[in-house]
Amino acid sequence: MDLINTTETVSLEASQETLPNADDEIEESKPVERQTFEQVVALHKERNTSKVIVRFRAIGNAPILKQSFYKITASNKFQTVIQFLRKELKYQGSDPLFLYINSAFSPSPDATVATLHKCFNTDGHLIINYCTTAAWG
Amino acid sequence: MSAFDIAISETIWDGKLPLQVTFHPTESISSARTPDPIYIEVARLSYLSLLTHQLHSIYTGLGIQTQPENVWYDYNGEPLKWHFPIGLLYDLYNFPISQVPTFGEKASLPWRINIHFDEFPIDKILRNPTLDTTQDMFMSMLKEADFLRHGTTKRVMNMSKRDQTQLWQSLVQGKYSEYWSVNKHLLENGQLARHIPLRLYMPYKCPPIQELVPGNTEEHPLLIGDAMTRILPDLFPSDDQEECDAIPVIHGVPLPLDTPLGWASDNLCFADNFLHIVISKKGTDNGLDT
Repeated sequence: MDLINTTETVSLEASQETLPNADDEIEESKPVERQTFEQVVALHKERNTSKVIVRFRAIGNAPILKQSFYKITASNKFQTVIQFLRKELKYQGSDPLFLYINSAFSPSPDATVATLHKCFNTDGHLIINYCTTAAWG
Repeated sequence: MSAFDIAISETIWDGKLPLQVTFHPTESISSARTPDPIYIEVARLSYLSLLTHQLHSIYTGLGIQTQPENVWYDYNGEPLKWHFPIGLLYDLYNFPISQVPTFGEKASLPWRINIHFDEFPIDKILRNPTLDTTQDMFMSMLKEADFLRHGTTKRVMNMSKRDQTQLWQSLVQGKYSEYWSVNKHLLENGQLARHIPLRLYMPYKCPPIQELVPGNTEEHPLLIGDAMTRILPDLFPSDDQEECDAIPVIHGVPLPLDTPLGWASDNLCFADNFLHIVISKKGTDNGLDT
């Protein structure tokens, strides 16, 4: 299955410093007045520039990354993560690579990292397992 | 699982949408003439890639060669996401894009969409809308729903290959009892779900909104209104339901805010076991105050 849009640029960076608590960064300030329908939509379409921590874990024979923690901008889509990992592993488009959240399921490539982190983080980290054969279906 | 109402799940399964599918040939597609639109009824729970499969033989008969991986659809120029259920797409897009969609406006049927065989918009929708990819994505959604409900994907992973095939094929062929004979094992729990698989959709190309919503609290069973207030407090203030600016819509029906969330999850979910709910702006005089 190849769903990756190869035209999108990768914007992940290695996380060198001490890991911050990612939860602190995505908190939004409470508006004083209730927002209208249109304002709520606009808010949800806004680019979430906060960073979250993803942690890659190789499964089976998959090659291991030099480092496993990365910071990624929350508004990125999951396909950007797939693309980043392929680049890091020097994998060609045709080489099979499977990514899972929490050793459980593959999110849709158009899911945002912000949503995945919010719903499925473990101690503030989004854990992504990857392998070269389908491990969990 | 809470009370399972066969009459309701059967009615949702039988929900259909009439479509008018129009093909405008581009220069790169050779055809003697522009074919007439095709009128076809599809299940609301189905997917556009399954429609492509159905239409293939019709277009072949008209001398038009189609490759499933290149076929896509648009409504009013907006490419339609093939991995969303068709009923969800209709509820989300069936109003003029330039206007604020107000629930209660009568949309004209059939739903008039366009089919394309080339110039696939890879920056707007996921690539490769084949039957195999759609099945993979459907199974992934089932696993995500299982993970949210139970904290593991054991129920889906432990399904036999035969049951997995039956689940997908019964959706493709619209066979209700075959589908539910397998799916009931995924929902059966004996205890309350940890979290409710739930996604909210708003117009203006707003990305889907997903948050962790607990299956229940110790005090009282959660209602749809509680989930809405939790996720969209500005549109669904907890203190005054009369003041709500929006209506949750599922399967084309406004969802009362006092619907128990667990019951909705068991009875009103789509085939992937998610509640996909469209948040529609409430009109002033549509008589749908809930």
